Amino acid sequence: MVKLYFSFLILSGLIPILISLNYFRKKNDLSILPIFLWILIRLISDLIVYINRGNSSSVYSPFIHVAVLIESVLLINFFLKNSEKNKYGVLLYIIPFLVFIFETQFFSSIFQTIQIAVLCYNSLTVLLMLFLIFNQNTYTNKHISFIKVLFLYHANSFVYFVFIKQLRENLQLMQIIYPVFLFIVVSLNITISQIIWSKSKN
Amino acid sequence: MVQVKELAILILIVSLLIFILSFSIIQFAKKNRKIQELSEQLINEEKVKNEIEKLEIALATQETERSQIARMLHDDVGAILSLAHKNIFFIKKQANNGIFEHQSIDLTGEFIQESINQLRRINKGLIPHYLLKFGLVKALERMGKQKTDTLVDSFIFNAHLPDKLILSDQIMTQYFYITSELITNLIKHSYPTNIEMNLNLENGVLILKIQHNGIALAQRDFNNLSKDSDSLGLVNIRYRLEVIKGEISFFRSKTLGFIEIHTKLNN
Repeated sequence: MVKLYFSFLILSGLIPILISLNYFRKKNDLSILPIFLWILIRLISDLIVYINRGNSSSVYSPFIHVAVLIESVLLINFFLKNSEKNKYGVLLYIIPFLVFIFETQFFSSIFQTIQIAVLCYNSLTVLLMLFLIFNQNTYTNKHISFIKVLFLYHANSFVYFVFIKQLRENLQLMQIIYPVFLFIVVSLNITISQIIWSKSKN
Repeated sequence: MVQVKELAILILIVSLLIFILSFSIIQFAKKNRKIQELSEQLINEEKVKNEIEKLEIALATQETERSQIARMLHDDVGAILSLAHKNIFFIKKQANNGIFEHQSIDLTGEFIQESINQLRRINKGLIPHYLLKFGLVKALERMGKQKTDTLVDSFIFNAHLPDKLILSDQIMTQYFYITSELITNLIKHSYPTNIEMNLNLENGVLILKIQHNGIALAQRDFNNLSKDSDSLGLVNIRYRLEVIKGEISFFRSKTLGFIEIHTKLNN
């Protein structure tokens, strides 16, 4: 069953990657590069977890910590590219690094399951995307579809990561909840693929 | 198992609620944007409507003025000049017969003089009556007070001109109209609450300074505006300044805006 879930997860993650590559080949536009890299990092971290599924979580946890850090940086970059110029905007990059250091050095360790960083990453992304959605000048932005999808996804995955400890400790609970989360991830990948596909068609 | 199911249901319900909430936020932002767009559209339509009304009024005023000038030229000057023309024709006819009409020549001279006087009267009629009667200082003070009466909190006017100074009609008229246009523009576009106007003579240069606390233009802004804009007011200011060989300067500080008009007066 786990194999099936991961197959779904990885296959659905491959679709936007392939469509993005096709987009880059067709159009000389790198504005979706942060999104592409974000999907790629997610896919790589999913693959690492899949490969090491038989091992203890301490084997792949460092990768997850770093992946979440890179994902945060990429989405902050996407936010800054799509928001009005602000000289203090670059300070946002400090937040994920601070959280990473705090969690890996003081709160827990890099070999333990990620908790704080992933919650901060989700809530920060929700806030940044919400800011873009409500900002009048960026609402007409060409990436508004990405912004909406990222907002919806991170708002929902936040709930999943709030209960991640209980889920990891209880296999029965995981068996009920994970398909729902998987459905959300697959929907995200398909929606992003569809957005990039329609962009490459225009 | 029961506990697990309860927790699962709780997670799913929270997820569903979060999804509904996020989706509602997106829809709300979308509607909010639509309302904003509609409001902006309505404001723009209203602005265009107001501009058209203003233009219509300006055109009607210009037409009325032109009709009045045409009527005065036709009735007063035209009539006298046609009489003078007839007299010249009569003098020429008599001269061909060897008769020298001295009286008619005098009369023609009188007609021409009368038409010159009439033209002066018409010309003076185009200059504000108050300006001619009371001079530039009083006219500027009155105009400033009238225009800013209920629209700004304070309007101060100071003039320090020598008693013996006599300004030409040309300088007075152009200064008056330029200042009038500037005050109108200030009230329309800069939204000041305080305006201070000073008229001074320094080393033979007549200087009018306007200081205000509204949105201020820099010299570059004015140059760009008067270059790019087809506004009749700005074109008129530039034309009037050329007539009196004057200059206009705009500058601003953190809180105030300054406009200065200066012209070198002839002895």
